Amino acid sequence: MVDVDDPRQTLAAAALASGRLALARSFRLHRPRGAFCHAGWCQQCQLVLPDGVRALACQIPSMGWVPQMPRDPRRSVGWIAEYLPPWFWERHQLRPEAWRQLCLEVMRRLSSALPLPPKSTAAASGAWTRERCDTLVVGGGRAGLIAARRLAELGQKVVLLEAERFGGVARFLPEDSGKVEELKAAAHRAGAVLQENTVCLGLYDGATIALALAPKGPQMIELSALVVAAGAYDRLPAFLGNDLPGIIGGRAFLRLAGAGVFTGRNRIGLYSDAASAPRLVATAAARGIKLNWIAGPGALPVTASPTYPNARLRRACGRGRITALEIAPGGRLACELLIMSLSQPAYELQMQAGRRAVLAGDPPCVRTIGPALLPLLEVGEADGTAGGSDFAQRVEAALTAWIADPQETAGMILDPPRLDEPDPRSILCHCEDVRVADCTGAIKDGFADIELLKRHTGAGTGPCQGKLCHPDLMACLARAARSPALPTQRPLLRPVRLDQLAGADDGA
Amino acid sequence: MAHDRADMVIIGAGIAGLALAWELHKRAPWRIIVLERRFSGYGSSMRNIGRVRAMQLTPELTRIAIAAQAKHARLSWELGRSTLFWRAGYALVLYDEDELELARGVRKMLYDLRLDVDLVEGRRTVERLPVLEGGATPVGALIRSDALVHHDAVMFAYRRACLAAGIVIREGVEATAILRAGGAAVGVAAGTNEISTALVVNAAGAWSGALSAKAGLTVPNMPLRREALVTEPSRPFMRTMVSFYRPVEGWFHQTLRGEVVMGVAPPNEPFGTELAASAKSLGRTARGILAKAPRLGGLRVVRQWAGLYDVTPDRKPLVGPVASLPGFVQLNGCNGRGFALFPVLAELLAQWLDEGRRPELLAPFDPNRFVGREGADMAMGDYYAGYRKCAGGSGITIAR
Repeated sequence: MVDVDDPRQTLAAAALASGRLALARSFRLHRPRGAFCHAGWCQQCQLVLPDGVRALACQIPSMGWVPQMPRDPRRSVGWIAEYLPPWFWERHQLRPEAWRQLCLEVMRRLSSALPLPPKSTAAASGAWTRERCDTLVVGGGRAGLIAARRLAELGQKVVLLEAERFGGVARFLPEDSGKVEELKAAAHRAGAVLQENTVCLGLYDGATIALALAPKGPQMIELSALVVAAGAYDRLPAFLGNDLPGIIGGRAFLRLAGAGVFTGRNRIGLYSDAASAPRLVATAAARGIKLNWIAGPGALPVTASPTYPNARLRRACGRGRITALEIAPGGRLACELLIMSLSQPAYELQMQAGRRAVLAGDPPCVRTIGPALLPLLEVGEADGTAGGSDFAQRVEAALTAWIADPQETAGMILDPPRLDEPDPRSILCHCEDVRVADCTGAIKDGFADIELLKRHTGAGTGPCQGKLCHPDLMACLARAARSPALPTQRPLLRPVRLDQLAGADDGA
Repeated sequence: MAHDRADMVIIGAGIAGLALAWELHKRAPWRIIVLERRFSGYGSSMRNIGRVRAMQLTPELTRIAIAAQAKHARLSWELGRSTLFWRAGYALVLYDEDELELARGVRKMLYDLRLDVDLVEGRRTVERLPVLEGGATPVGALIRSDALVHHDAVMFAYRRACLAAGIVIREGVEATAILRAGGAAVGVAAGTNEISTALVVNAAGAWSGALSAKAGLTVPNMPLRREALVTEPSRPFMRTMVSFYRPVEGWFHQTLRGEVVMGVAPPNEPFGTELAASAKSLGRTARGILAKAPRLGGLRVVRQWAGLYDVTPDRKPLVGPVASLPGFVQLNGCNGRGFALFPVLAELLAQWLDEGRRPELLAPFDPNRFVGREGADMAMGDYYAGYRKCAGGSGITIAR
């Protein structure tokens, strides 16, 4: 899927290095947006290249071209819209019909969505293929590679799908990157089929078939068991100004740290949970990157920088880019780049496999519980833990227990969610520009079922398919004393170009 | 067991059930309870694509569809919320010279019903529908200023209006049995609850056949899965909704939000209430649509889903009281047109139930028309091919 081998050479990384943080606009409120995840899932950095093709800035090589973001008069329209109460447009312009038609035409043209890409010149799409395996391992980081080896050694037919290159986040950590080749070779020797640049798009037919998109075309893989080793997403909680360009994820920082992107930037702030803070601080120190301050919701390592443990997020300040973060206690901390290192373990495949979503932790994130339709194991960061020196041992132990009893769902202990009260104007769903107020308003109006809430507000229906907003959507329900749940997780897990799916299918 | 009383119990809080509850409430202070197994709109109401077209292929359906579109046009005002009713335009595109002959017949039939439809032929087709440039060459298209609504906006407008009117919507409650006494329906059992009522309305959409069976009736309704997918939004680049004459060739349009919705039906979909989308449909839809509109190839698919048609052998709805079971009323069987038709069908049915006289427009949709031929042939395959049989008496021949 990824055209570049090295995320540090991407257009988004180049733009970050040159201080050009805003790369796109949200299509409804026209808010400036920049790359958050630098890994191809948050969908906030989509732009049009000089040849008219639409691409994610974090998924294409920079080639020396840096995008320009001209001022857009539509931003002032969006700015007014931000202050309108929920459902303002739904209650006005109802008649006469001609007036309503005119309003719809105007509003449809105000969208900041990108133009239709030109007809792709790519060669004919790859044909659909079919295969079967005993266990499908999704995610080719360290945990996935260990799992593939262990299961293949038992004589199972194992297929491992890695969306980018093998190694996951370990590729970018100096102390771990050396181990990746070794793990890969061991898994290969054991007989596992290892596929790079192959995205798992979802489970079908009662979780008996997985669909993947490989460089050679779409693949339908029959499976009997599933290992989710897909790691974790960077979590971006709801607070005022959370969508300002200049906020990047902790994993994005780890990916880019070695690329020299951050040198010369004088004010970098880090807001991190306790589990991942040591890893980030160590990486920054190893790369000579100065962190001006460190804050977080829990305990934090002691460093030379000012440290603000047990600090809650209040708001991010700035116009068009972040200039400061307000926390309590701690007040206003200036920064030009904010690294947001909180975790949302991958959860969609587990839900497609029949598990139920619950909200847990601080800041709250989505976790899955309950029985699955097939034997299922979460390992690595997907099980909610962060890396560490005993990472490999923990993965091995989890596999040993699962191999002994694949039906046994490990008794997970989940912390109760800690619910903050974000500002009502905070952006909850970035793709669709849904504010916290829209969700709380809908719940108050009786749309308290998650399926109704999703459809009423549009939250979670944009290109990222809820990866940025699902925990906060659940938190909205929890704050209103409703049972937090997630809507049915429909495929696809990542957006896929139509022409990539159009290959011939002998089995159709 | 708890007992409850109501003037009417509507089973199914989809568009049919909520629209009927709302229309009856406007006429008289009925005590109405709407039972919904999951949540309002579960099933096809929140899975459809909101096309409201007056242009149909048979005169009976066209007559009701014209009324249905007019109803949708005034619905925003009636409900006090915008349903995003938008006259985007609709084109039925043909790729076969034989089909052009059929289209001329359809156009004449529609013209006789005072529905003005453009029939463009040859090169002018692509000029009118530039999104088809570069694809297979169409021979013509029937085009009319038909409308699109946002299905969720319509559903929520109805739901808000019903809740504000004091109509009881019990979500998460399944009607487990239809209670009968003396040859008539007298109530509904819902779990541990029993509701006595004078009228039970079957508005269960794709599950209406199964519900009729619970009431001891044999009706020929069958659920049929249809799949769709949606792309990320784009700046507006097309307006007119496109359907290819044969559904196995597909349909697509750009929504107000800028997403492109599309689908291609398989030739051999089995009947059933499977609601999960299939992986195969992704490839089928991509191949089918790109063969006709290759410019869409660079758009990214973000989500896919499936909905259910409630199919009847003659492709016409069942609306009205059941003769063999007094107290039981059908409001279903719309064959994939339910979202467009139900607001007006509910309005007419409410008039019927309230005034006791059947409105003329409902005459072709008598729910008792299958009595004695419940085993009516249900050749599916190409969905429109089913018209060949039922359009026989209407003066047009639908042939391939």
